[in-house]
Amino acid sequence: METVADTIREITKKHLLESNGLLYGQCVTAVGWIGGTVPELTEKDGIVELPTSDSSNPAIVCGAALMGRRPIYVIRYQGFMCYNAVTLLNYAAKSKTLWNEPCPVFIRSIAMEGSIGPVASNSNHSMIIHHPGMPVIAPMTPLEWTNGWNYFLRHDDPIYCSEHRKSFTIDYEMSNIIHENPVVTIIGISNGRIEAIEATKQLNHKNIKTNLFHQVWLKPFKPSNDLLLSIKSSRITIIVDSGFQTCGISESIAYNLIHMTNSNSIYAFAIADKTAGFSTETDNLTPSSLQIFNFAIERLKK
Amino acid sequence: MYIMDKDVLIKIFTQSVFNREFEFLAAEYNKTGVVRNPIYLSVGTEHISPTIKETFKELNIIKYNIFAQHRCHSIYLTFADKPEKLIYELCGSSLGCNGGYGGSASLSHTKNTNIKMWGHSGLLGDQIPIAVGAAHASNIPVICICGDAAVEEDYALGAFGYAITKKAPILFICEDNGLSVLTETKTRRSWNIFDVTQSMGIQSVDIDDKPQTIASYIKNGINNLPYFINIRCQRHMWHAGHGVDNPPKWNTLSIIAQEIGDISKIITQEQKNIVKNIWKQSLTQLGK
Repeated sequence: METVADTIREITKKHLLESNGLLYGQCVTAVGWIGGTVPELTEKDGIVELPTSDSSNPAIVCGAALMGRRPIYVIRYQGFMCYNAVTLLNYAAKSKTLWNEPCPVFIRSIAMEGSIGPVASNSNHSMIIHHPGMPVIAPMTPLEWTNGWNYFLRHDDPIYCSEHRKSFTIDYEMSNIIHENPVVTIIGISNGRIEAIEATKQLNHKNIKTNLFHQVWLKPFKPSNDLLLSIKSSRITIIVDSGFQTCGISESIAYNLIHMTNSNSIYAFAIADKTAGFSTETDNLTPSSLQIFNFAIERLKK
Repeated sequence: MYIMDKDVLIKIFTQSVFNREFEFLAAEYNKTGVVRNPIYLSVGTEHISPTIKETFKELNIIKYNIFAQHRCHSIYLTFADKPEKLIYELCGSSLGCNGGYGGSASLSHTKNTNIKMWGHSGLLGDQIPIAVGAAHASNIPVICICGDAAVEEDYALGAFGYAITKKAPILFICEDNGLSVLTETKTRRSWNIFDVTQSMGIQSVDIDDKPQTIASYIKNGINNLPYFINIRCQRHMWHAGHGVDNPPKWNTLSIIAQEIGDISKIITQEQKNIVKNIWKQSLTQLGK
């Protein structure tokens, strides 16, 4: 079966060669071709190497989007969004509302973590979600990425695709785990889902009936009935994310779910409010399965 | 010396008077609150867009995109065909060219024609990289109009570099009034933008704002895009609002009027009446 990287690469290739699409990025044709997600094509085929100018590059891509080229914009580390977000949020996301002119850019923003420093660590999807006008997805499987891409082709919004390097080798799909009368409900986001799967196994192994829901669409956030029912039945709900927790999507979802379910035991559990460094001692990682497990046990004691 | 056909100069003058009279009435109605703040009037630069338009017509360039920023009323009036929609927009009406979202600063002309004016987000100068991206991705000529402060934005500088690297078909017009709000250029920077663009390899010139000069330089350089033209011009009114800071050092519209002779008085009176009627009818339509 194809991995996420294979899926991205093949869809991109088709887009460039058959649909007059474009792919923009910095150093995309360098060693590794962004984890094997970029097809080994040339500028003539539609791969545009951009200069090292994180403030002008996204605007250049917006110009291509206005001209109907449906560009893919690759941002190799989500921390680069600190510069790149400006035009994407202030132009691409607002263009349709302000001027009735769509500016559809598919933003591939790639997260990683683990001794990789203050910029390249973590997901930064929450800062995008805060602003109006741009749907946000965080796919981790081949089908999820494909569904996000198909949504992009069917609509004219710019889309923020919050990818995680750890997804690139994944070649399987992930199903929700649903029991009747659960004690714990876990909602996993991005890389938080990988850790949440293991934590769910451990909790169920301890006879703490735990449900797991994979949240791919972060904005708009539309919880399923199964999820709402699960939360209402559970003693606690935990939202695990690979982005910062403070004012982040995990806290935002928790807030929404508290009002939707009248449950007051919904917790965000995501990345700590601190800067990551380049060593294991200074890492700031997605909560591990053990941390999620312990977090659940502690909350159940209350 | 470049000799401009008198008929062309008269066309430029006619549109310029229309633009200026439109702005004078916008200022009047801004004083009374009918036209909302903030408002960025283009008095002093109203002849630049008509000059570009007529020159492109002469060059038989019929399909192109325009990216501009605030102080763009004259650009809209020159290239779009419904001044009423600008009035509605300035009054905050949903009937406006951008449904009230654009205001004075963020205008676009969305009618599907060969000449299309795209909206501006409000981030000064971000139209420069967007315009460059549009030119490169479409290969359709682009006119990118900006000011002397906008070119200082870091994303503008990156975009100039990209434009020459990719040989994007884009004409940059910098309306250089020497002011950012009221801060003079010499206070803000020690360098000239045309030196910077020139050093990147972009054909660049620094010229006065007479229509003959602008037309002549466009014609001379249009086959070697990207091309950067810095035009020294005057902002007659406040950065934002209907007031006046200082008398302008020169008045190009008056200079053109002298060049075309007595007919200028007739044209001016005609255009005044036309503009007045358009405002009157538009405000009546809005119940104001």
